[in-house]
Amino acid sequence: MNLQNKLAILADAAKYDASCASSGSIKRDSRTGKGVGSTSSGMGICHSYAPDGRCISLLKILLTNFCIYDCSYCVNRASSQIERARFTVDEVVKLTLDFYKRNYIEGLFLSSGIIRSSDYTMEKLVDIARTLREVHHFRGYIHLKTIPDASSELLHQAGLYADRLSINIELPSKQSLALYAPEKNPVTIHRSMGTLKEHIDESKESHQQQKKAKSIPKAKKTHQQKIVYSPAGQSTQMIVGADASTDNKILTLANHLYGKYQMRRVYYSAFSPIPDSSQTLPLQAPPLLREHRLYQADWLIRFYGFSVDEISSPNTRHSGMLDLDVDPKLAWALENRHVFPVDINRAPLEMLLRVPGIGTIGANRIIQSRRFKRLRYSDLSKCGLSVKKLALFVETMDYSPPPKSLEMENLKNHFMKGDSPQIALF
Amino acid sequence: MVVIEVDGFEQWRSHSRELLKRKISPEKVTWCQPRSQQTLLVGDSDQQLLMQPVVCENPKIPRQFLSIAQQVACYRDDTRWSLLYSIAWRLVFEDKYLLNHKVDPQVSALFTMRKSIGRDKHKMEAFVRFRQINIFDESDHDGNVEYYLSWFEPQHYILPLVTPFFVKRFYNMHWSILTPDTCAHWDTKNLTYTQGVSKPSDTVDKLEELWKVYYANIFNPARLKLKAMQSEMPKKYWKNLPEAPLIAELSRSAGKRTHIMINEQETTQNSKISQSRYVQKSQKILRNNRDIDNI
Repeated sequence: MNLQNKLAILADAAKYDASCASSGSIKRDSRTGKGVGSTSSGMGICHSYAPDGRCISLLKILLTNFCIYDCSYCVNRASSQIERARFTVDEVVKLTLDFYKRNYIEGLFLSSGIIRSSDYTMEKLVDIARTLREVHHFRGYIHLKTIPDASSELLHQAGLYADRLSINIELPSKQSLALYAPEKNPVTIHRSMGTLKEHIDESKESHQQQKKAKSIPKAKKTHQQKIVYSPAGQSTQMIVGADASTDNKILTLANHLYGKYQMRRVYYSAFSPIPDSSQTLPLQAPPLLREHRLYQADWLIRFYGFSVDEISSPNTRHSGMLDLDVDPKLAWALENRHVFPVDINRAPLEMLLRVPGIGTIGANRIIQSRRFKRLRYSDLSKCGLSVKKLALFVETMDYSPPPKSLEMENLKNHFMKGDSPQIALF
Repeated sequence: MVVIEVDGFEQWRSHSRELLKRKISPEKVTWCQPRSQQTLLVGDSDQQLLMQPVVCENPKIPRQFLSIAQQVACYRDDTRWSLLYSIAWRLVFEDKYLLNHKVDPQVSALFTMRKSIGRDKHKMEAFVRFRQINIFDESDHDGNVEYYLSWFEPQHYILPLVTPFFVKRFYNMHWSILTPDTCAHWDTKNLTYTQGVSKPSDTVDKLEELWKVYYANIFNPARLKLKAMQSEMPKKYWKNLPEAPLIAELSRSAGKRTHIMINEQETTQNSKISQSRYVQKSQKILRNNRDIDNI
């Protein structure tokens, strides 16, 4: 099989993984080696966008789509009749470097079907990362998808070459995992996440100690200090809509993973129809809107101070599901109208962050600007805020929302139609 | 009235320093491109400027402003110089904390310009595409050098702002980035700039075919979202992206492909029993097959 056909099959097989991030690593570049590549500690770069709106940052491929597992939701499961292919180690290495030198990508995101055994497969993945780093001095981004059952020694090696490691949690509950991915074991998944976290923490600690040692005069630089174990941490992915789990359950699990394993990201992947899919799964278009709402909720929990139950309480009328009609912050505001309007000139940051239409940047701009003067309504758009959305929820020195507007019953409808609620009021 | 010629940040900076020392207010200064009509009319204005008395020996400008000004200096609009000077003036003579005043019209314009520069920079780092060409180099011992060539049309004059990124990333490669305003060349040791050029004729790089294969196959037709794609990769960049010509056909066929995936299942679906037998069989083959390395 020629390289083009292999690439077609093994890119196709990798596209159901949502993550393509190349962010949050350490600063590093090609000036000190013989090869190419650089990474930064900040944002990654999206070198292209596919017509599905997704960022193409990394060469995201499988080493092989042969697999001995039979996870129903997966296009590569043993029982699927799709065409199979396998790259050699050298092919992946060369493809990565060739793409990188043309500025198509930030690096490699490598995953694989499981062939022979978990350890055998993991060894091959590590081999590719090692060759890129040690033979070719590659300084770009490497994300390795870790095989959960692989030995602890291999997990350790993987982190020495990769910027980020990930293990997919796959489904929101143990029951669904048992049903749809019988060969995967939730206990092993959690144990491996724990192992990765330990390695990451240890490496961080020793790195900090070395930094301290460096500040003491005459301390010699050791070669060792350059190696940071998986500097961009770990991430995971959950499939949404393949089983019956509620959003509350999904977010609760995500929150747990962020806390317990210090995940950098939990990705939500709307279950997508796949060629030759299993009978046990819903045949429908992927629930993209639901996936979008979950990301919004995830953001609110991590950066806006909301709790899981505040935005997706199992006891409200949506019984644990996010409202698809409006975003979760607006939905929360509509359920908690008594706390509005919020006074732009007085409210603390935590409260500003809860106003629909005010983001983290906007909230900080308000706080900065109001030191100079009391803000007027017209100043809000200058702070980059969406006035249309926040009109009913704020007051300024020269403005307050029309009386009784917050008591209107059909308030949500106006937001859904996208017209300004004010127009409807007068 | 003072007329000042300016064609770069450093020049603007040194002129501004002299102007501020003499407390010449922004309304009295006209900034223009070198050799434009205005200077011809007014004549030698630098000299007139230096003859005026110094009233403020050491005008203090916050460092934060200078780093912003350095970026905004690349904005493709001739009003940038006067805006920068006005703000510098106000920072020195009115309020050194002016930049925190985000709702001030000039400050807000400054930050809007910086944002536009930042975005342009980010997009250039993302969308520059190199093509490999082989050139003969006498100084090199085996003669042939792998050379990487790119043509890009940035919105602003940002090439000097992005070259450090490319140098660090491709330190050990020979490359050139050509733009209509100016061109940058790196030979693994030195960075040189030459004048802008018009678009060179296309060269062929075989790797582009593989890149297109990748682009077409990483796309999931069940998730077509053209608007989301275009907000991040606006059409103005498409002409220099080798993968862009595929977008139309991929989008057009997406609905049909998804429809087939969802509806064809019933016909190809195996019964549960035969499915599970098939699974067992294929798993067994995979587990036992020691020749799998050769597949």
